[in-house]
Amino acid sequence: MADLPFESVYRKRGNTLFASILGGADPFDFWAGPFYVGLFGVIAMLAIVVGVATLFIAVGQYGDWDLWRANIPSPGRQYGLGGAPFLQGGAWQIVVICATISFFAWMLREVDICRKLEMGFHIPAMYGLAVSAWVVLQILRPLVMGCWCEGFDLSFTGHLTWVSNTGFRYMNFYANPFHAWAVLGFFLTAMVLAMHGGAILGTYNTDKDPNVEMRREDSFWRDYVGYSIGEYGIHRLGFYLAVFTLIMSDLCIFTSGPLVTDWVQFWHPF
Amino acid sequence: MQKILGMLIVTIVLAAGSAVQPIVNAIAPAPSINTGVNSGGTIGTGEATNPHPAQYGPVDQNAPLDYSTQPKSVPRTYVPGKLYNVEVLKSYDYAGVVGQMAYFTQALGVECQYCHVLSNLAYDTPTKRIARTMIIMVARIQSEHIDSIHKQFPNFAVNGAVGCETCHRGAPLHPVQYNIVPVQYLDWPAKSSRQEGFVVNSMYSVSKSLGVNCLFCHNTADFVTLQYYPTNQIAHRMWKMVDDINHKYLPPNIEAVTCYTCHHGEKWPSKLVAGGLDETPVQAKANYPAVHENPGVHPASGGP
Amino acid sequence: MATIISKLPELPEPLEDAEPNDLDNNDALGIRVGIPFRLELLRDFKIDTQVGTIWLGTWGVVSAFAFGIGLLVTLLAGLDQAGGSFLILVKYYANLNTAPPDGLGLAHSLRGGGYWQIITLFWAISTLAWAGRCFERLRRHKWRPYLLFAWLSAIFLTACIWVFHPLIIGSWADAPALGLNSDLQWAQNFSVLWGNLYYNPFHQLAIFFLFGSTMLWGMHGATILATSSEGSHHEDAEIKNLTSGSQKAMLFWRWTMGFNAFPKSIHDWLWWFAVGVVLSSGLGILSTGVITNNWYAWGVDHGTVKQYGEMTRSFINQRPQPMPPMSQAPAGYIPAPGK
Repeated sequence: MADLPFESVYRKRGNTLFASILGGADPFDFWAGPFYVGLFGVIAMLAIVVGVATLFIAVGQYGDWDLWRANIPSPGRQYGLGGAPFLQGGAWQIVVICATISFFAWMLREVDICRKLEMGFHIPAMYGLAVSAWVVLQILRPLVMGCWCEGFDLSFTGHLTWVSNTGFRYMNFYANPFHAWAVLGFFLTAMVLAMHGGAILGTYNTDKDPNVEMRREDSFWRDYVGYSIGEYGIHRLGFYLAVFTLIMSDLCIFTSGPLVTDWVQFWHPF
Repeated sequence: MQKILGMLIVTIVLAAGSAVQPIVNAIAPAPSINTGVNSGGTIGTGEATNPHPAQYGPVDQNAPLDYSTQPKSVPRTYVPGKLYNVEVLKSYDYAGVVGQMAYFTQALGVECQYCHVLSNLAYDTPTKRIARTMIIMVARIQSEHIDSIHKQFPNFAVNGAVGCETCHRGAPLHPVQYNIVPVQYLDWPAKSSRQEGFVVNSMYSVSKSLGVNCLFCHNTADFVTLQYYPTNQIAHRMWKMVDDINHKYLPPNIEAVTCYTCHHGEKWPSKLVAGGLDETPVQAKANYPAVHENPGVHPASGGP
Repeated sequence: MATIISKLPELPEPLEDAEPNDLDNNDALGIRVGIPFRLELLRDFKIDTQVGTIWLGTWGVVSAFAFGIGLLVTLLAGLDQAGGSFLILVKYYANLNTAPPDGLGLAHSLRGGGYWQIITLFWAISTLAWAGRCFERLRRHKWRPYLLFAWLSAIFLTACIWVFHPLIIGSWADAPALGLNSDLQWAQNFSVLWGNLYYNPFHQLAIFFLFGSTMLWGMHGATILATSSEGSHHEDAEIKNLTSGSQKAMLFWRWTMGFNAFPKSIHDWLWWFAVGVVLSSGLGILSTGVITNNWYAWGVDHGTVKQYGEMTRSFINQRPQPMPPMSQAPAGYIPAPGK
């Protein structure tokens, strides 16, 4: 895959986290094809390799290779917060550790790339929020509940069963107000996404002058709904909608168990 | 810094806003369908609260209880120390009958005059007729329903049998909470998602009545086809028992019995007796408590 | 060290729009109404401060009227349920429940489903009229009709839920009632009734698109915000001529994941993901009850789900039993349907 035509201007060594914190140069400050490597890239890649290898070994041992059904279950309740034998949850623990390391390393690699390109750190921040959902689900909440068994199984349909069972464990998860806000956030995000995508795809290259195109956008939105948020504003809206949604999601699962065990009763406490 | 503060404030406001409704409800709770079908009116105040008398009661026709007039065996002059007009407790001697009466007063929290005419204890009264039904009912519940469940699921058996106190809990009327639908509404497939709402409400009632969550009986991967777990099977049988009680034994104008009546928020009812009409209280204890956790569900999804 | 917050973009154009009115298409109601003003508070949020004007148009008026009538009937039905007391209506607004009738015909009475049918009809008219408004305004401003197709897809989904699925199943009662808690309960009941919708492959696809939409919005929003100091938010201009902002945005993704989108193509991704949500969901609702009446059993049979235990299959793909007559229900528990 060839580089983008302007890429060579931007490919400069230096300005990494490693350099700013530890001094000296990041030993992995180079590119492999289109990918930037960096120290955190190496860490991420190591964690990915170990994790995926563990995945394959475990699935092989469990026997079911079907892509949908293959399941790596979390440890049983009897192991509490300790380690578990490989086939009774140990594999899960290893994969979760590797995945978490790789997520954090990936995020820090994105920070490195932002530093190199001298752009804002919104992307790693957003990515960090997404990672926080994983961390809350698989690490923080099990820690608070006192048992690694609280994490979800690593499996396609298996994790769906986990979601179903966890939802009903708290009687009716729709009654969780944070869940309701998160769902609203998801649907609003989808709607606003369709609106923004439709706006750009509707107006690009319809005129020689991009200012005319922008005014055409503004005019349409003002006609249609009475307000045009603007090309900068729409990205703020989308970004913060996504942030809001993820925060609500984190809260909805973190309060279920440690704080509330019956969301229906939450609304009629006595 | 401002941004983070702003986001924090938004989150706190939303959380606080979401907490307003439950606080309001705590102060002035909404009348929910889970707190009593016929709220207000008891048999004592004479208000007929059940507009479908044919559904619950009358007193069981099969038992020889239908006296419209005083039976011949009740003498004009009552002689204390002798037994008259004893039907269901025929096999008991005098001391046994008096002992039972004492148990009734304690289990129902009533005095003798609740059932008796004090000047002639042998006189038949409506409450006496109901009491006879109740005695038969207790024996039949235990033998027809509960003993057969224990035989089929020996690991789920619990020490003790039902007695008067199990349902009455020291009050003449059993406590009513968490309503359930009659068992025919549980037939699948439901015709509409609205009808299915009746089932769902009943399921919530069962959960609160037993102090458990859905996973006690179900693997929620599928409520419809995955009914293999023993607690699920036992619940089916228990439901039929409740329907039996409500249709055959309950007097008219009495609120229906539900799971809560005996279970009172516990998996195993606490007020059991040694057996039948024996008033010896027994601490409910499951023989194998571990089996009551649903193994069909991965422990990650938790038990009750 | 790159800045985290980008520079404030310039003020938008002056308040008057291109043409004050828009009477060029023989629409008697085709006027822009309202006095545009600047809401300075919005400047703190770094979004456009001009509010207004809005274009009326016949489609818009029809849509607004139909919506208003529907809203009025909703309030009436709620008042009816609250026994005429507005106070009770407000306190128990979440529990208000305007339910559909059983069967497929007209409801026998207002309370027995009539209210629901009236409201649904008017709101259907309203959404369709809004689509007409969308079409007309897109034409006028010479947009490609992506927005229209997105709105039509959303209508498709709501039609599947409120109209097509009940028609297929044979009863309006399988559509959601109108009410906060009852809508949430419908979602719960629907999934339980049809064997757990998590195993419905269209539902899985829809969730993939939904979560993907949120991720894409987060990423696209973050990308533009991060590079907006160099003008990447002028997306129309960037599509014609890449400046450093878009170049950095593209390079960020290329270096992170090995490939990148372009200022125009990223919006293809966004739009297709968003529309994919509603289209997949619609297909999921349509297929429920048609392909199978139990998605868990379907999953087990097609190898996507583990069989967790012995299954009682007698209910699967059988015709539903008729509901026991309401007269046998204990009064006070099950709300009387047609009273």
